[in-house]
This record gives sequence, structure tokens and C-alpha cells, in this order.
Amino acid sequence: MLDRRQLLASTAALAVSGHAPLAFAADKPAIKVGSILAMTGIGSVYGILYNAALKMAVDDVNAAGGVNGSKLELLQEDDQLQPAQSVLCFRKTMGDGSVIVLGPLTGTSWETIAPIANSTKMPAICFTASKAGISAPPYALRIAPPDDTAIPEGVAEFIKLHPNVKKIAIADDAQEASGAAGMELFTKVAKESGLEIVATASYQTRTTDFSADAIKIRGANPDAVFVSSLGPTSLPLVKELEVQGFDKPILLNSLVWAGAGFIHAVGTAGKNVYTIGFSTNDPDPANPRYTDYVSRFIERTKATTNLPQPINVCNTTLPYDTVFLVADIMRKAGIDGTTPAEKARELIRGGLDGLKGYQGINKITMRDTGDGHIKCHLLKANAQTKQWEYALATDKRVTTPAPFKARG
Amino acid sequence: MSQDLLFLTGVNILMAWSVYIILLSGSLSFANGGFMALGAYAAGVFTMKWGMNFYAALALAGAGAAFVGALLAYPALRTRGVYLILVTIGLSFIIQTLIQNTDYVGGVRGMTGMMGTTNWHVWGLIAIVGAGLLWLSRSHLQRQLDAVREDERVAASLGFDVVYLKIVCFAAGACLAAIAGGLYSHYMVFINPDHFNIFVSIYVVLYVVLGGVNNMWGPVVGSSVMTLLPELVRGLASYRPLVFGAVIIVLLLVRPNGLLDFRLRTLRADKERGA
Repeated sequence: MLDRRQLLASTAALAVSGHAPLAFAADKPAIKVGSILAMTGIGSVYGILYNAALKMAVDDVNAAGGVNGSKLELLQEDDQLQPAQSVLCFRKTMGDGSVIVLGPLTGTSWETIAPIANSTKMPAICFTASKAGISAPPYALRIAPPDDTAIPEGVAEFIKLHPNVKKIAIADDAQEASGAAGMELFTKVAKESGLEIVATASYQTRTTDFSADAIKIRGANPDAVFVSSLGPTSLPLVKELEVQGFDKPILLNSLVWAGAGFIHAVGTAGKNVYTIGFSTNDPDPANPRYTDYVSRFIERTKATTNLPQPINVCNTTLPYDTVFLVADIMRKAGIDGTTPAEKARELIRGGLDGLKGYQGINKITMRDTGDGHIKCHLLKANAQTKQWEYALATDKRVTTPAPFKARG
Repeated sequence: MSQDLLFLTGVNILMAWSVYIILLSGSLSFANGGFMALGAYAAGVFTMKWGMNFYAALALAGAGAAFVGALLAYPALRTRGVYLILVTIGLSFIIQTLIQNTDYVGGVRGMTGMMGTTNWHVWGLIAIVGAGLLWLSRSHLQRQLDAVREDERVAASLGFDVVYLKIVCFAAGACLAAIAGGLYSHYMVFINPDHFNIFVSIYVVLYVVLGGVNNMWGPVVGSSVMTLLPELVRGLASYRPLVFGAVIIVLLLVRPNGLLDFRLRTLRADKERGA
């Protein structure tokens, strides 16, 4: 049995060996990082997935010694996909001493939070919302590519894959900002591409009966349908179109690629379904960090969530990258757990203000609008494997990005 | 208690009083969620689109809702009992649908960017309205309203203008609900028509019924308990609505007249006591 002296010596030896960074990190108070996600309700298929990615990133940062000797502590708030609730969550996490807020998820929420972030001088980074033109630098940046680049890039590959498509119908969730904005962008890009719009249909986020919309779309006899709405909303529309015998291609914007659930539940209705995104679960030999992330994330979600398996990694690399980006900014600015929250927020704002891009798992280029850009591609649903796959082979994909102005 | 909870409790007290004021004349309104929406959107348009001062926007929204309330009350109050309830529910739906289809205020997507409300505004207004209701409860007007509430025919035979009193109460309730809505929208920053659905009106009536309809303190207690209770049982997670519903049933069984069912002493009672 060890005596007291031996025990102390063993503990000291452990502390100065491999566990030294953790022991050091434990000396200082943690740095609080807020996150606003939809953890319950219709948006939980997104929130639970992103929360797993955020936690994985925080664990990885802390395992590597934290930030300037302080661990990161994630303060997670549930906004139930309600923009008004996002505001309350934002205020709460600010009051709790967070130095930055990650999220919220939807365009409507981000459109509401971004101006508040500036007026309260609270940095916020969104990693999902797809409505363009709603970020508000210097405090509110989005690292995700919004639809004004994602949709043109996705539609270009869709037309390349389906050159005979001439007439389209467009459907959108008019209640959600990203859904409605997607409709406008689909309309603009379709016109620019010479496609004729023969029908439009609008519904609301929590609509469950799509029979009238499907009848309208089918009645117009389009060659394809473009859809802009969240996964849980798009799913019954796609299924209703199948029930009514519609078997033409359906292109959904990236709102469906992101999150869990749609691909697992779409079944046979997914045989002609496409979406827009920038990654799949396939390993990327050119990006070993991505390949490592995919395998670790799939294992982690199996163990820690009740999400349908096999999980689609989709854009969960963005919340992961966001945590590392924030950690980098804080390291460079000398922020640790003892830095007063207001001072830390101002220092982070300085880091965000000069951000031109970030090379994490993804290569993100920052635009002058305060949004990120990552080249997007057309993805096809594989109903058998329940996975999104690239619709075009690597050498057939459109490599030219949609036009945008990078930060100077 | 968090600032947000304090705010929501305050707004719910104002909303409960807006129903209580209408109840003073014996009418029950399920349209107050609709009037709250009118005020929320009108104040939002005044400050965000027209650049109006926050206080002026609230006052104008309240005055506008009072006018609309009076206009709607005249035909609506010709009905009684369950028919009046159905008419006011219809009003609530009409207001919500109109907003949903008005692109100028964002339609179904809602409206964002309103800021300016603090807890001081809400609780300051509660103090003012509370003082007014306290004065009312001791005034001759309260006795007239009591007469109208108990028996309209007898009240009319005594020379009281029943229609006028009912319309004034309905307009005053609409006004207060609209101002509460204006405060709400400028605190929450974002509103959409779903925030003012029929359940808002039902809950507000529930606050008054559970708290007690016989005095001004009943709605205060009812709305405070029903706002704070779900937060106090937050640890029950998904069982919260179950417990919330069970508490409502128990309260109605144990205190059918509300938690506070006493009547406030009137001026006349004071005089009689003095004599």
C-alpha cells in the first residue's frame, strides 16, 4: 500500500507528465462560450447534432490544454427554433458571462440576433443560417456559406446533370427567413439559367398537410421542383409528391442537407431528391483532418445521442471549426478565464473584424458581407444507405465558385 | 428571478387586467390576444418604419386599439354569454389572419428589430394601471359596473347607460392589451402572428379565472402564479405541461372562485362603517 509520501510523489509525477496541460488549465477559471441551439421541438434534429459537434470541439480544445491555461465551458441554451426565444437565450447567456455566442440556427433567428449583437457589443458567430445579407459585422459574423452562393453553385451542377430540365416549380416555407429567401434566389437563378417557372407554392414551417401544394405543382407539369424549407417541413412535401405520382427530380436547398432526420425518413420518395452541400461522409484523402473528424463524430453521436444512424456529418464541421476559430482568436488576444467578459468580448470583436478566412477542417473565405464562403456542390440522396452522396464525379463537378467579394 | 421572467410576469399581469377591465361590465373577451397583436405590430411599425418615439408609439397603438375595440364592441356586445365568447374568438382569428396576410408587417415571417422596453416600463405601467384600478374599485363607477355586471336590465332601469359602460370597458381593455403588446414587441425584438394565437387569449382569461374575478388582485396573483409555475417545475422537463394542467384542475376544484375571491371595500362601505 502507498504511504502518504509515495502518494504525493505519484500525484506530482502524474501532474508533470502527460496530464500537465490539464492540471494547468484547471488553475484558472473557465472561459464561458454560449451556444443557442434548438434542442427541443421541430428543430431538435439540427440542435442535437450541432451540439454534439460543439461539445466535441470544446473537449478537443480542452484536451489540448485549453486557451491560455483556461478551459472552455459551453453554456448551452435551447431556443426551440423560436426567434423570440433566441433573443431571451442571447440575453441570458450574455448575463451569465459568455464572451461569445455561437448560433442561433435559422435565418429568422440570425436576422434578429445579429443587430442585437452589435448593439450590445457581444460577438456572435452563426454557423448555419442560409439567408443572405443578414450578418452584421463587426460583432455578428457567419462562417457558413449563405444561399446567394450555395444556390447558384448547386443549380449549376443540377442543370449539368439534368440538361433536359426546362420548366420548374418552386416551393418555399414563407414563414422562415431562409426558406423565403431561398425561393427568391431559386427564382433569380432559374431565370438567369433560362428555366421557365410554371408554378410556385408557399407554406409555413409547421404545415403538415401538403396535398394542395402537391396538386398545384403536379398540375403545372414541371420537369423539376426546387424546394426551400427546413428538413422537417420539406419531408412531408416530398412524400406527398411521391404519393401523387410525381417522379421528376426535386432539388432542395442546403436546409435539408444540414441536420439529421430527413435522409433517414425520406425512404423511396428520395430516389430523385438532391440537395446542396460541401461534404459527405466519404473520407477525403486530401484532407486527413476531415477524414478523422468524420469517423470520430460518427462514433461520438452513436454513443452520446439518440439521433438516427448512420449519422450524416453534413455541415457539423462548421460548429467544430467555429470553436477552434474562437479559441485561436482568444489565444492570440491573450484572453483567459480571468479576463473580464466585456474586455474579452471587445478583444474577440477585434479578431473577428480582421478575419479574412480560416483554415480548419474547412477552408473558409470571409466575404465583405460578414459571411463565409465554401464551394458547394450538388448532393444526391441515397435511400438505401441513408447518406448524401456527391451527384457528380469529382472531374465532372463545377469548380468555378459563384461570384462574391472577399474581405479586402 | 431572471429579468426575462420578471418582464413576462409583468406583461401577463397587464394582459390579465385587460380582461378583468372588460369583465367589470360583465363581458368576457377572448379577443385580447388579438388586441395585443394589434398593439405589438402597430407600435413596431410606428418605431421601426415611421421613426416615431417609443412612448408616442405605445400611446398611439393603445389609442388605436381602443378605437378599434370600441368599434367592434358595439355590434359584438349585442350578443351574450357563449355567443359573445365565440364572437371574440372570431375577432382574435380575424386579427391574426389579417396580420399573416399583410406583407408590410412581414406577414407570416414576422417582424424584427424592435427594441427599447425595459422592466421599468412594464412595472411602471403596472403601478399606474394598478393605482387606477384601485381608485376605480372605491369609486361610484365601480358600483355602476357592478350593477351592469349583476343585471343589465335592473342597471338600465336605474338610469345607467349600459351600452356606453360596456363599450368603455371593452375599449379600455383593448387599449391596455395593445400597450402590453407594444411593450412585448419592443422587448422580444421579434414577433410573428403565432405569438398572438388564440391560446394567448385563453391563457389570459385563465389567469383571471384562477386568480379570482372579484377584485383587481386576483388577476395579479393568477398571472404571476401561472407564469412562474412552469419555471418552478422546469426540472420536470417534458412532464411540465402535465403538472401545469394538473395544478389548474386542482385550483379550479379547490378554489372555484379563484385564489382571491374577496371583494374590495367600496367608498360607500367605508362611509357606512364610519357612520
